[in-house]
Amino acid sequence: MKTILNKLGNNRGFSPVAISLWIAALAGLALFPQFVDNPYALHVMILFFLSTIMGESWNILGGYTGQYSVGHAAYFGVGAYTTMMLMQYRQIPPWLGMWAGVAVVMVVALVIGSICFRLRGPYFVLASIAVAEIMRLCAVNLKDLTNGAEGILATEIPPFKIGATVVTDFLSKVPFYYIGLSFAVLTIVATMLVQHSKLGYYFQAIREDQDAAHALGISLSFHKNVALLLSAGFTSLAGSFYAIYVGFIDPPTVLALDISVQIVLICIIGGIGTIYGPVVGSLVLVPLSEALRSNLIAQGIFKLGLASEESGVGVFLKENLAHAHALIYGILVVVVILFMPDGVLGFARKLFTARNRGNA
Amino acid sequence: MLKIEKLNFSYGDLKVLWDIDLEVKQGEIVTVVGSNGAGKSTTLKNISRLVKPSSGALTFNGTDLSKLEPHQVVELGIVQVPEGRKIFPEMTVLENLRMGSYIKSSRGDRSANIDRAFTLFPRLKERANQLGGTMSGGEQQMLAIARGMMANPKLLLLDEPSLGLAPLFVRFIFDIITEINKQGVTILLVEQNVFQSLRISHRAYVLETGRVVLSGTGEALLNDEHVKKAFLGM
Amino acid sequence: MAIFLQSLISGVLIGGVYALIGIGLTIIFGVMRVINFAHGDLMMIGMYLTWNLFQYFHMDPFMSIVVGIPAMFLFGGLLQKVFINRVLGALPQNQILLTIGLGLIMSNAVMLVYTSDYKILTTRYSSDSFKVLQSVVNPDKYERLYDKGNALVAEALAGKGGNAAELLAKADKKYEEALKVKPGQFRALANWGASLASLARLRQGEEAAALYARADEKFAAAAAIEPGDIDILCNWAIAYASRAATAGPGADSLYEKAYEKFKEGEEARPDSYDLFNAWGATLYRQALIKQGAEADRLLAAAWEKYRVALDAKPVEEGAEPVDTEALANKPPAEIRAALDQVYGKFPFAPRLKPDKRDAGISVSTPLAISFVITVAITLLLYWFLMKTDTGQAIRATAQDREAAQLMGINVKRMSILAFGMGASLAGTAGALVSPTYYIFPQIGGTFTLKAFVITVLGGMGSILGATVGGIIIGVAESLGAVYISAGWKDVVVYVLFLLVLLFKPSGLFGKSRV
Repeated sequence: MKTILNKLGNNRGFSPVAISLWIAALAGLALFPQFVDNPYALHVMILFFLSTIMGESWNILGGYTGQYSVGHAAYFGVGAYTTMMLMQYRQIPPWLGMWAGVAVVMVVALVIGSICFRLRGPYFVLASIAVAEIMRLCAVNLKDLTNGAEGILATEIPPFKIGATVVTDFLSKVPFYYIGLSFAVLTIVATMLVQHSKLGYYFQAIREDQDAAHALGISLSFHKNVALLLSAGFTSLAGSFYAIYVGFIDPPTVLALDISVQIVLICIIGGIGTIYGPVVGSLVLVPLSEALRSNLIAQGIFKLGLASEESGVGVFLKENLAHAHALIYGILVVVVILFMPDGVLGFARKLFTARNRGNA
Repeated sequence: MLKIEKLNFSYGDLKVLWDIDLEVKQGEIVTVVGSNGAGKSTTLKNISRLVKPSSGALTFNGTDLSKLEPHQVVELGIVQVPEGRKIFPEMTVLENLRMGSYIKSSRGDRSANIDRAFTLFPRLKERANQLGGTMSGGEQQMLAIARGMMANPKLLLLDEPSLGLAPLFVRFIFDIITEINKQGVTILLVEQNVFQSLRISHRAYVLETGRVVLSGTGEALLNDEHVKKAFLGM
Repeated sequence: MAIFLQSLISGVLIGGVYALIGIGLTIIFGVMRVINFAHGDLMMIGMYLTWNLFQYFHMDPFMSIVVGIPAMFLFGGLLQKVFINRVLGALPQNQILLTIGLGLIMSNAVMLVYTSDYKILTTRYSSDSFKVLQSVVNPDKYERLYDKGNALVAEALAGKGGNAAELLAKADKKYEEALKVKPGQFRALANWGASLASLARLRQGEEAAALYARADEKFAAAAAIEPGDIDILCNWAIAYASRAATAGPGADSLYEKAYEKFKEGEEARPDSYDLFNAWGATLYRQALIKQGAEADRLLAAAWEKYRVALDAKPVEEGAEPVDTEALANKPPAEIRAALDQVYGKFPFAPRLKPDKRDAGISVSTPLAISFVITVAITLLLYWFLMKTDTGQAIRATAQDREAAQLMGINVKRMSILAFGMGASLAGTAGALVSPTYYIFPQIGGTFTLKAFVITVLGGMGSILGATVGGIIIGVAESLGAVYISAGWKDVVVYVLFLLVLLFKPSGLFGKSRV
């Protein structure tokens, strides 16, 4: 156990190369809307940020602490609902409402944690699903509070003002782009800080061996709950951001099991328990599923001449491929689990070291 | 009959067996003695193909074992009675015995073999319909050996059959092993109870930290100074 | 009490199907220690398989399991061989994710082919039901008397003379008693009226007139309770018409009264074949006692009603609908000849309707059939696992994989068998519910969750536990829907699930494995 802690401790420093890469990436992303004003491109980038926030947040609990929650839709959805309800029914602007959402989610997380953390392994997974499902059913059934299955439609987002100056009125995608970017960076930086803190080592000790960690005097329930609070809080921010950006929420879009699964997949595909795993996962998943959704894949197949647009197959692809964009999630997960159990990032790293060894 | 040459094995990065050479001839009782963690059980697991060796050759009556699955090893006639007995806890004694004769070649002899088991261990007959998991350690050991015999083994591998049993019972178990051997079954025994096992063995090997350090007849090893000092506390 | 028993029984019936799903999951978990998150999707595949067999090969959904069981077995075995076997030694979370991935592929592949539209599989018996425990639950004296009365009238009408009068007189008494037990039942009143009118036809003079008057009174009472009921009005009109046939000079005013009732009926239901048909017959009959233009006018009116009746008549399967336009504008002679054919033997007999029943518990026919199949399959499965060598080998593998290998059991083969069995059980469950559920690609998720709840409740790996757990969940859902609300019934199930996880994680029949 001690060796593990030592080993993990060695990663503390940031190399100059890493820092300059970070600065370059940030600068590029910050300037992106200045050069690209295609709303669709901005939309895909916003989805990418959203996905990154979701993945990074889950990673704190699932990746570093080893608690595979398949119920994160609960935090995503409760955050989204709180912000939306405050905005629509109490006229509280979303940039305040989302913090209220975080607070509500943390309370919910404490309750959920006190139930689920008594369980381990597959039982924990099942309990996390059940709790999220209860949340979804509550949203469907508490019609007075949540408007039930009809969901909530944002009629108007109030402009963001500092004093009397209007900073933005949220009419284009650009403000959402910058909010998404800053939240994503915030989440990544927070995850890094956690990973390299004492807390982070405790988390990882729990992941490696709960009983050994416990024997070393690490309080399991305390640290698991702290990890859950952090994870749920950031997930809630993602939920609120999603709600305001899309302007409509209902139980199937923010509280369904699909959302929980999708959150886990982002990390699995990129690489679990690594800072950049969720980023890579989002980088793979978002463009792919968007390409399917907007029928780019079908058009690509026609362009390549693999099938003609008028043929039976062509018509079929054009009509149906867009609806089945989650198919790609399934295929990716199966491929990743079978052939790259450490995710795309882990696989790439392995290839890289293998080649380096070959060169040496 | 069974020939092991230069067997090496590792659990991950941890090397457990180093160049093990071992042979069992038809009709023998061969014992592998050694302390805890010497690699005795691992050797048996390699023979049964529950684990795959890193290198080395294993042959049984000329057949190469290295390409076989565990169940095919049983079909060849090598049956292991594992450490900790591994009785099927939610099956009755009778069902456990039936499972012992699962392989096709032994199904025809099933009822005769059950009779033989009950003659060897009358206690099992009394408990025929009791669940395996509810029996005492001694009864489970009897059942494990009886179950192993159900497959008509040519070579019976016994992993620590005396472990955790009362002294009187240990004597009984070793008597049974001798009896089974007299009925024509070759036996490879792994034991920590060095005195009792060497007493009934034709030949024996001493294993220390994954290496064979001594071998010879049971009698010779019983009188060996090193064995006396290391295992018999003399 | 009746509602409780009703929901208890439907809970047990649907619980049987849940048990099949749970048993499948628990076998897979028992043998492989893998929680199959694609279990509901396997069930969904079973539903689509059944739907296709029904749609394109007209195979009965319950018969289709003959094809479905082996097909799903092969499919499940293939999944095990190609995918699951490779992760048996991997981390449990990776196994879970692999099955989630497989489930996503299944549901989305099905969506690709069939879109996400709801499919409905409607059989002849999809909405049929039958009654059980009639003498125990809500036994109703009224219903028995009423049934008896109806039976007597039906017998009298079928008997053609003979003791008809006697039977009708008895029926008269039964209706009277029935209405004493439960006054104000319009069906009983209307049928009583019809029975009195039928009796009156067999009598003459004053006796007949008195009976007709009483019949009139009953019909009026019935129509006052349930105005616009087409069956009351029809029988009432028929009573007038049959009375007119023997009335001599007063016939015309009776016919007018009959037409009045038909018209009332038409206002309530302008699409009733029975009504227009009887109306046409009545007009035809009046025409027979008229001459010249008067007769032609009535015949033309009768013909008109006949055409409307034909329009309203439900077209039988395979038959061509009658082109009523072509029948318009015929010369009177032709109309007469045609009507002679159609109405020459019109019986002018009342049609008795059964009343709605309270007695007994209504059981959905498709659910009952599926339960019987479920029980048969479960028994067969128990026999297989307990008595055959292969079944015992599967159990042995579940109890101790390494020891099973040492018995010469090919555990990889057992795993393939187990997954195949799990898949075919899930697929069978899908086939069994397909006549009663909507079929769509995402339906699997709900059932996967249900399967978890069932297996955890019964104890992971315990087949008996899954059987009992399935029934418990079926009953809990059914009672929850009635006593709490349909929307919250799933919450009841999940809360039950969490409570079991927290306080008895080994389940009702399992060894503790946490």
